[in-house]
Amino acid sequence: MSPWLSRGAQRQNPVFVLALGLGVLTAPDLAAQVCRGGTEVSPGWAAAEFGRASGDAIVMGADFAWRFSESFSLFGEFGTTAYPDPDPRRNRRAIGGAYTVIRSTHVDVCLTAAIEGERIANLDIVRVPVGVAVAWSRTFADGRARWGLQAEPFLALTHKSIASYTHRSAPLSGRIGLVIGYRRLIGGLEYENAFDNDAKWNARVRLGFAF
Amino acid sequence: MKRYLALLLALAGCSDASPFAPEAFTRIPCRPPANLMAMITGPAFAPLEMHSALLHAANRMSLALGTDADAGPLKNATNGIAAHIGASENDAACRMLSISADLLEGLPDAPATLPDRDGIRLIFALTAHSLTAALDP
Repeated sequence: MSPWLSRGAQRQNPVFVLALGLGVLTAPDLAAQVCRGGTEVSPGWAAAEFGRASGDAIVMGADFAWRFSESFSLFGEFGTTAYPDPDPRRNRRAIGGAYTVIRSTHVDVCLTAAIEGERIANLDIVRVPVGVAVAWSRTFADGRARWGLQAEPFLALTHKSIASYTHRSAPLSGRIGLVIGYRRLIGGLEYENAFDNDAKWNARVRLGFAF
Repeated sequence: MKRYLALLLALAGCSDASPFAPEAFTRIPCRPPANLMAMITGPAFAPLEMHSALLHAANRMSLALGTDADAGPLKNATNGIAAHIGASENDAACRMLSISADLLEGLPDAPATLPDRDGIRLIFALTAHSLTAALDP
């Protein structure tokens, strides 16, 4: 609430107070969000996601991002991939950072890196995806809403192990996405594919809010 | 810039550098090697019924393979299949089976070890058939 508004005025004009409150809820800058960061107004966001993956699987999870400075953001993800019985679940968690190298009105370019851990029965997988995220967005509805596109090719340095046996690879992978925002609500679609003989894809719907 | 590109290509070139079958390390639930599954038709044993045969393959039959560099890992991996089957961890057993089958194929084709290699391969095939039935009911 605005400090320059007297308590008397607040009581007398609740509509004005409400308008001030809603004024804070400006449409977040999605170009920055899809580079996994927030904006000056809302430096963070959190979302739930739901989708499908290869192997007739269902994907559920959540992710968040928080921008510490003009250029650096921290992000995290966790989720599970459930296959039809009796196949085991895949549980995944990741934490990473993004560094914004180009920021303009409509386009952001970020360098991203993360460390991901995944477990499938007794198979342990550690991945270090290193990539470049390019995000573009435009506003509409008088600036209250935005839509944007994102593309992120990345190299996934991967180490898999079971018992004393290991396998290392560095497949080129990629994500593309569509993001829509209205005030503080954000939503979107994301498709990810790994271009190797372990070719896996997943497609997810995301819904969340900026804060 | 060219230096970074060369580094990226070098890293990408490391893909599948392992001597082991990548199938054992995929990110989706395991399916046994197709060449083993093709060897057996008809009703399948329950995975637990393969436990004793796998222990026999890992110990008595592996001894006959001598001191080849791959014989030790094959013995360990086959013991791993038996251990995972004993714990009803069929996905992990299937991954160990892929690794074991690849190690078996990598052994020298010496006539002296052929009977034992064929015997182990038959046990692997029966295990693959059994795991396929358990994983794909």
